[in-house]
Amino acid sequence: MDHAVIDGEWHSAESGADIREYISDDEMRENEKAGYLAGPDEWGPIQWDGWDRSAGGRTEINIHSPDITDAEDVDPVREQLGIDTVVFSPGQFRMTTIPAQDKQVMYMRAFNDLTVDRFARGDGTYYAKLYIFGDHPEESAEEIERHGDKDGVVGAMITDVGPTFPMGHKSYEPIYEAAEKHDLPIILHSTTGIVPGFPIAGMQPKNFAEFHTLGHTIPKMWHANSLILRGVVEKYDVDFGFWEGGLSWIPALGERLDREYLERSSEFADLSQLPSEYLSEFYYGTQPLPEEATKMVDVVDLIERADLEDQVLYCSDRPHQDFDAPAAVDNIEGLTDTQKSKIFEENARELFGI
Amino acid sequence: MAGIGSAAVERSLTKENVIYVDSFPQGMTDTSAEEPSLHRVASVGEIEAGEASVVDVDGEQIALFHVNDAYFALSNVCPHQGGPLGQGRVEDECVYCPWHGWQFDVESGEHVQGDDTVPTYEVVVEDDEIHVRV
Repeated sequence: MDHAVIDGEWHSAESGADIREYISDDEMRENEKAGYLAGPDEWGPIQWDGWDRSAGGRTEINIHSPDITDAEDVDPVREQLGIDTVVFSPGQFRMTTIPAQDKQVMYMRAFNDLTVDRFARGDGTYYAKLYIFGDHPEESAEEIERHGDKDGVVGAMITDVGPTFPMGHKSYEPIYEAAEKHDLPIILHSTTGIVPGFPIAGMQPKNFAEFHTLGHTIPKMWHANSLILRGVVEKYDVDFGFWEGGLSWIPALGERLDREYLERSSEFADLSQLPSEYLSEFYYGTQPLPEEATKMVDVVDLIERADLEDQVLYCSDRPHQDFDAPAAVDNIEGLTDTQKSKIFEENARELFGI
Repeated sequence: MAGIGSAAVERSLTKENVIYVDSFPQGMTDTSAEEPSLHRVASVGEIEAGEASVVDVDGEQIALFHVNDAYFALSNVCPHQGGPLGQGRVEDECVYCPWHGWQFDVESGEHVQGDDTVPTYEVVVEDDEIHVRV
């Protein structure tokens, strides 16, 4: 096959201390460094969640990989995996869990300044997404205005676990207006951090496995349902990408949405097609691909039935413990060379404009 | 359904995974052995108990494990996504792939919970020399 491999998601791995350096207010930056008389210097504002991501120490991929502080730091592993181009996602996207709400916007801005400075190269190899908060829509829109046209900035990532409202809610409108203006896709991404809102508080998981089974997928369904039912998909010319929830939830939601629409369309916004057809217009990161061992999901059949050939992008999710190597896509029997070329390269070029 | 494409797996195998045993120069094959398919890959004592070494035999990356006073040879390439099994933790006669934690019996190569299997190779120890039949 003659195609490049574009990775739609590689996380940066900056520390809280790295981000603090980009806080613009001198006094705030010094106070944060000092820990307000209550925290050691190495502490950041993000609470540790205590999940065991290592399966009892048996896996070795460290999600915080402290050696990834600039784009070029991933050169060796990227080349070893056979990846040509990377679109970075924020590493510290658990910043939505900062308890002090008046600090969240400050950190969001610092984080985006860091991303533009260190990761959004726009050089053919490295690009990046901005970081936006669902609970700070006005300020998030300002971030898109501030950095949306910078070289190498090709999207905005929003943490989809924990916001107060689902993404069809009117409070998000400033974000969608800014994204439309700057032609940036919005990428939904979950977190396994500690958040008070939907869905974690209600799940009461015993351990990481019980949470992680559903923690990425349930929020995707919550937001996609809302984006379609409330008509955001009609009102704004914005591309939406659903990352790290896999693909298998798509038909389950589509079936339920169409059923409700056919029975009670008056409760939906004015739509020009069946709800499930909007699902075929969203973009999806491949990671995590369905495991062969489960025998529950036929990826090739799903792509055909849900008309997703032009919507699915390869994502590695490095350096997270459940990352997918390009082999995860290559190993799918039945995908045509054309489909693989789209998944590895063409769909990413279309979505991110690279 | 998804399957295993060997070419794809080979591509995902990172160069950092390959560790050559010092006493086994690249391309060395013990052609004097009675059975031409036997390849000397290490000497007894070179691999600590509970550890592994990865050797290259005619282009095959093979993980050689020393477990319970015995040696076991498996492909170094995890059938899941090509992770380096030779770098995995060994517990209770199983190796855990360091990438995603898939668990394989070092003797049979079988995934303990699933249906996937890692290729295994016969190991012959003679005169404190370890050979693998490839």
